[in-house]
Amino acid sequence: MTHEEALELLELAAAEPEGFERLAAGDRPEAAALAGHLAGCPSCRAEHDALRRLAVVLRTVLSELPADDLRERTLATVAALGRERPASGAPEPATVEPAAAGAAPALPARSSSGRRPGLVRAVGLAAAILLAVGAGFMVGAQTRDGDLRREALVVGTLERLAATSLAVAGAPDARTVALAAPDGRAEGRILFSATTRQLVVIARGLEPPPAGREYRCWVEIGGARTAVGRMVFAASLAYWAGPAEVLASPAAPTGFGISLVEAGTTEPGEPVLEGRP
Amino acid sequence: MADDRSGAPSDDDLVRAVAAGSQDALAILYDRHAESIHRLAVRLTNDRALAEEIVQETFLALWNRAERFDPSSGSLATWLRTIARNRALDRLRAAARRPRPVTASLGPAEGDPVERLIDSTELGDGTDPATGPERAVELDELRRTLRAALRAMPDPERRVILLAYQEGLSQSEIAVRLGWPLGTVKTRTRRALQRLRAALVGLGFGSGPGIASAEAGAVGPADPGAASTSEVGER
Repeated sequence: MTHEEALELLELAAAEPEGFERLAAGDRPEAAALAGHLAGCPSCRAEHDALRRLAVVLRTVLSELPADDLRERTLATVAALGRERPASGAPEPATVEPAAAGAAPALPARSSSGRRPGLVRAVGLAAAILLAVGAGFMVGAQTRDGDLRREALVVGTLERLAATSLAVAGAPDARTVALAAPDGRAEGRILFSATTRQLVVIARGLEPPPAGREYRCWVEIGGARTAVGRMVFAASLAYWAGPAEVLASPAAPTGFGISLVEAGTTEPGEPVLEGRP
Repeated sequence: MADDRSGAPSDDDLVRAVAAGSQDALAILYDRHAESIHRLAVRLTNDRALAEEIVQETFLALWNRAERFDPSSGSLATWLRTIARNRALDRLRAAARRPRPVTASLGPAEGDPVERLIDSTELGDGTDPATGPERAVELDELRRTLRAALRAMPDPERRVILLAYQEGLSQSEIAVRLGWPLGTVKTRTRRALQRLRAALVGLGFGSGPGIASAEAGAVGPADPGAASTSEVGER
């Protein structure tokens, strides 16, 4: 075995899970050949030791670095699920007020789209759904013994959820409503449009329902609540999207929510998340 | 008040801007603190997917509750880390009651995760008392160097090296994931490794005491070398 051949094996082992352990086992011809080479080559032994230490450092440090797209997903999630702030409906301050004159430079000004604030948030919600559910799918895809049926289900729901969200977001009367839980441990957002009669519900922080129970979303009009659908869980999200004929009512919705109810019931039940337009 | 060293807005200024509705200020705060929050979450949960959820929820909490941040009670970093710690505790307790259907674990967890969280001794400012401030500075330098080397690396090489070290995939698995020939994956892996090694050598972490020292101070997984219808929903 040449030095270059030995170095190639060592470098590839450094980037493999348990790569050096497998080389040390010596149960493959190239591993046995490498062991023989290392026994008589001090410089390659030094390379082995250096690469082994390097692998430990890289595995430790790189595993703690956030994924490149986590920033985009986080900001989209905040835009979709975060509370209403003045920037959504009022001019955003272009600069940070400095405590001392001239001390703080201006923050980068947010791009001014001129779009309706509600639409901005609605599109943000659609983006968050795409990113969050898409990320959930990717995690599923990375599971070595992944459940293919589940992945297919997530792909299918992603397509429908994205299509519904974008369709509602594009409606002229699209509106969003924040959902809040009494204990603050969960939060959500409703996207709806009376003209399309479609509803998108997304929530984070909900515990999966215990056996025999399920989360159902509902619409309240004039004090009467109408159950709409059962929430589905994927990754860290619970969501529902589809037509809601109750939105065809001439009266505007007065509230939205999600309740934990006995499975199969159509009663809205006591809300765990609730919000009003 | 601006940061005295760089002239950049201080965290306190940015939090006030967030409370006023600035998503740009939130983005800057993400850039400043997300890596530390992510690192804490990975250490507490040993699960990158769960850690990402905790990062998202921490910044969602910052956006929703920016008015509640009181600089006189501590730094923003400490406040964010407390939020992340609480979110991790919630998630770990919930996970102890049910299996996670989808996960990308870094490796086998050791002991009760809630106990691991409670026993965590990392300080609020991100300094690990086991390593001390000098060691923390060296590790920060190591992280900066690796980040810079990753940014400067051709994208194909960066992809293979992150899949190898962040997700623990073998070269064969990377080839399947990316649809590349195995030989291409191996070539790019070697090039990427050589670039990272060169970057570390240039800053004194080369093959020798530097890397050995970094290894001794590394914190993270207990065994870092281990393998390691028209509607959505239902009526």
